Amino acid sequence: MKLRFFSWLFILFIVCALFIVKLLQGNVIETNIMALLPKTEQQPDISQLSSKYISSHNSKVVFLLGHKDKAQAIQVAEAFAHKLRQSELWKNTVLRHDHSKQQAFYSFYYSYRYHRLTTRQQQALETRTLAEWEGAIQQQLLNPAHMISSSLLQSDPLFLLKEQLQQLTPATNNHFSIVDNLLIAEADGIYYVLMNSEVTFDVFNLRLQKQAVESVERWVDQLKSQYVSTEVVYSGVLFHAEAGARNAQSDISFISIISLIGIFILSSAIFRSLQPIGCCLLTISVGILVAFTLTSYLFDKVHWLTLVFGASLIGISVDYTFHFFTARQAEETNFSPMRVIKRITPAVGLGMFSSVIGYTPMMTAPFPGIVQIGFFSAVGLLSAFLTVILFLPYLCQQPSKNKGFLNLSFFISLHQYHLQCASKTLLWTMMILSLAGAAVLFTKLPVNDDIRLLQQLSSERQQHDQKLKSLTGQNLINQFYIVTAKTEEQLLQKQEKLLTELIPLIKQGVLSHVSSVAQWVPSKQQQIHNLKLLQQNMPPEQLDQLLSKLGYTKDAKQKALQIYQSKTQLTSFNSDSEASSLLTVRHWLSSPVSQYVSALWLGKYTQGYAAVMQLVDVKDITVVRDLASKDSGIYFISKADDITTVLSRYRHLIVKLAFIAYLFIFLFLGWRYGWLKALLIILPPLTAALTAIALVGTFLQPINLFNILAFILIMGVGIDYTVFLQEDKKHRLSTYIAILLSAGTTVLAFGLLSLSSTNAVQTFGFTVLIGISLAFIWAPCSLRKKISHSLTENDVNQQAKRHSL
Amino acid sequence: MLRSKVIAFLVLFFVSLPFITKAASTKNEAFWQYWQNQMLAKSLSGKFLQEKHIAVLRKPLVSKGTFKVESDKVDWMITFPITKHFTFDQNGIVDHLKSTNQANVISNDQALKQFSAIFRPLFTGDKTQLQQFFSINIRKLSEDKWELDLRPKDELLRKGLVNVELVINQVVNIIRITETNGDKTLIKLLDVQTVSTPN
Repeated sequence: MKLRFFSWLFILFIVCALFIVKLLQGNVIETNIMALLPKTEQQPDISQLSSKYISSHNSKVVFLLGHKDKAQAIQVAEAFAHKLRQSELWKNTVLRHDHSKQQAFYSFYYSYRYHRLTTRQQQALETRTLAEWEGAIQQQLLNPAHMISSSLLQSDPLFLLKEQLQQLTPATNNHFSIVDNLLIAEADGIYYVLMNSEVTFDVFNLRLQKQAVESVERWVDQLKSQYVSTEVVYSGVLFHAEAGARNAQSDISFISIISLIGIFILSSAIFRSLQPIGCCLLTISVGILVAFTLTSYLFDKVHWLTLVFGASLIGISVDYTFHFFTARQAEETNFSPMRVIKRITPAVGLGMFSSVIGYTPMMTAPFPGIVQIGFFSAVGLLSAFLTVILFLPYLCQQPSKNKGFLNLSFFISLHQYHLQCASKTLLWTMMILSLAGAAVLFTKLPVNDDIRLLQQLSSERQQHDQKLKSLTGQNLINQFYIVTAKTEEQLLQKQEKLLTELIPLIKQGVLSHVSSVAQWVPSKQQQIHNLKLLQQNMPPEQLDQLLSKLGYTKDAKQKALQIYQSKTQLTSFNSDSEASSLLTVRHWLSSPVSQYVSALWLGKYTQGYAAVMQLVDVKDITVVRDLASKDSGIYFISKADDITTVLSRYRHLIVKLAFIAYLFIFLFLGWRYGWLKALLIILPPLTAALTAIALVGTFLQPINLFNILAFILIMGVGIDYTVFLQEDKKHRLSTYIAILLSAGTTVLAFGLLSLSSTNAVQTFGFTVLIGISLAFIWAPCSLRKKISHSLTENDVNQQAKRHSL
Repeated sequence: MLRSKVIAFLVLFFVSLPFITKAASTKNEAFWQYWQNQMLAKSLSGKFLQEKHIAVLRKPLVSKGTFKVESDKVDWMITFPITKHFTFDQNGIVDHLKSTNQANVISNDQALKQFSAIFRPLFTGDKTQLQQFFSINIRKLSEDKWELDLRPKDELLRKGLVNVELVINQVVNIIRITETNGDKTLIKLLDVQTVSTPN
């Protein structure tokens, strides 16, 4: 016993050392959901580029400071901006938009008005007659909104710049105007001042996000007390991330406390000791430690999904510990821990073995995530089992101080009633009806793997987002393309080609807007083409005629022609020379005009150059996704949809593998007990799991991967119950109490998750709650023979004997 | 002698200054009251004649058409020499013949947006809106005739625009825009009708 204990302890020391070494190497947990895909489908470069863009976007925050009095709204905004600028958590806070920036914007693009022709302008040059040009320009001249000056007529006689700039930004429902260098909008009698800022940290850093949001809330409260009726609206990924974390933390602390109190009460009521709970934690911890260490060495990194699934499945091992303690509690006077272990090993061993058999098919799956989950769970359960049979006899050498069970007569009555119900076919009727009902519900069971449905967004955050959208017309960024090419020039050309395909889709309403670097900086090829187009279709002689028709004075016409000729001449450039007059990405990036859109340019990466094409308000994702499939260098990124697709594929595969696994388990049980008994063992947990999924899927939320996790958990735990009852017939009362305790703790640990406000966790909790309860209720159905009263009397006699001592 | 006259004038001037200011302010308030009473819950419609005098063009650009001013927008329909229909509202400008929304955003065309925000108050006499963009000087020409001189407050607007003059006789009759480069626009509103709009 001692040797076994120390041998296993020695092995665990080695595992611990390996675990520490791995932790010190850092970066052990894989959080990228795409890493769950087969290697051939993973694109680490693209994933990295996508993360780079998303994190640059995630750090941005927009504030609206509102007040009925405009002057007060401005004061509030200035005070708030001051606080943000004082904090190290915030950077690039922009409140005032000075004129120099606006002028620099116009001046920059004004220099390239002949290089940056829009598609409409190109078409006009190719098709318009002189008379049509005259009519078009006259329309511009007569528009009362156009402040057409004499200098503009000379420097841009074809009115190219205005349209070029208008095309860069979408026709959003933006209510803001620049007043005194501030962006101000009025809505429902309140003046809102808009302010942009960025956080200096990763928005998913729990400590810093909490700090930043709390400070914002504190400042808002201070401002509200200083300026009565101040309204502050803020939006950004930071606030959603913090609200989600806050929600999860409050859920976890609330549920954990109730769960722990429940488990302690349950354990104390049965054992009058907390030792079993301590041993449960020990076995689960050892299981997770060994599983984590071996998985991290075998797979290099452990995925967070493996941790969630694996740790939950290893939780099944509480059954083994409770089985040991109930057997120990029921032991007669000359207590021997080894005898207890020998007694429970067949049942516990079979339970563990059947679970491991269940995880084996997962290890052959083509998806690395599923292989990891299978391996992690199998190793973890095996380690937990070894801990029970090697550690517990040594740690619990003394018989229980509080022999026997409290409320023994209650347990005996419950035990008798429960088993008799099974024999009286009441349970059988219930089970068959449930199976039939579940089968009916399964025909119409809704399935939805959409990751967005799994989380409940805070209603306060949604209101803020809605308010911001109604005033700025801005949408949250969800989808984009990553366009890659060998050179910068090829990249811009590729973007231009894609833009020509996207523009008709915008007109059809498939999406509302696209933003890309090529719209600001055309490819050199395009710029040269534009200049040639102007020279060929609007030569100086023709422009001369046009200006005469429009009524230009002689001097004005000469000046206009002179400027036009100097700006459109083709001799000054060399397509490969950086010193040419053409607009380059480098020049654009170095200018402040690119400040708000420079994140679209991802720059150089291992395979060449990459840039983002941001898609706004996509309504038909399939059409947009299909465009990317035409070119191997274009990748469509929709993080939420990509995660949804991965989860969906995992759900399909895990369902298939789970059925194969349970077929294996059935074959194994058939070999061990015979086919009918095997069916009796597997039917109660299977019916319980299917009923739970059918009920939750029909009445609560469509089925997703997390319900399948619950299914595997219910099957694992449920089969343990039926196997334990089969194996330990002589001590059925203590086995029954072990099962009751296991069901109680599983419900308290997992079932209470149904109280969570996070949808995914809640549905998982409900499925486990219903499934485990039913698996426990129907477990006696696995006993084919009618219950013999002599067995229970035997138990009673044993207990009575112990109490008399 | 002269010295004592100057001193007497200055004393009189400073003593009477608050009264003069108050009188001017009262006069201004009377005007705003008058104009807003004229325009209260009314829509305005009529014809216009626009002349743009641009230095580099030999002749003024003349256009004619009709207009309609409602509580939240201005419809501007040019019928000569071309046919065009613009709507100015709080989001910007809609060019109906193009059937594209030209309402613009912060980054690139605030001027267009600002013009749209300014254009309607020129007809309706929305004091708050006008004062947001302009310093206003009011001159009474006759019993029911007033002239307003609007000078832009915004630095960017000041770079292109000297002033906007409005001549009001019950309703706006003339809008005169003078730009810094000497270009001028004259809009004459003719046959202006006011129609009460239901609340």
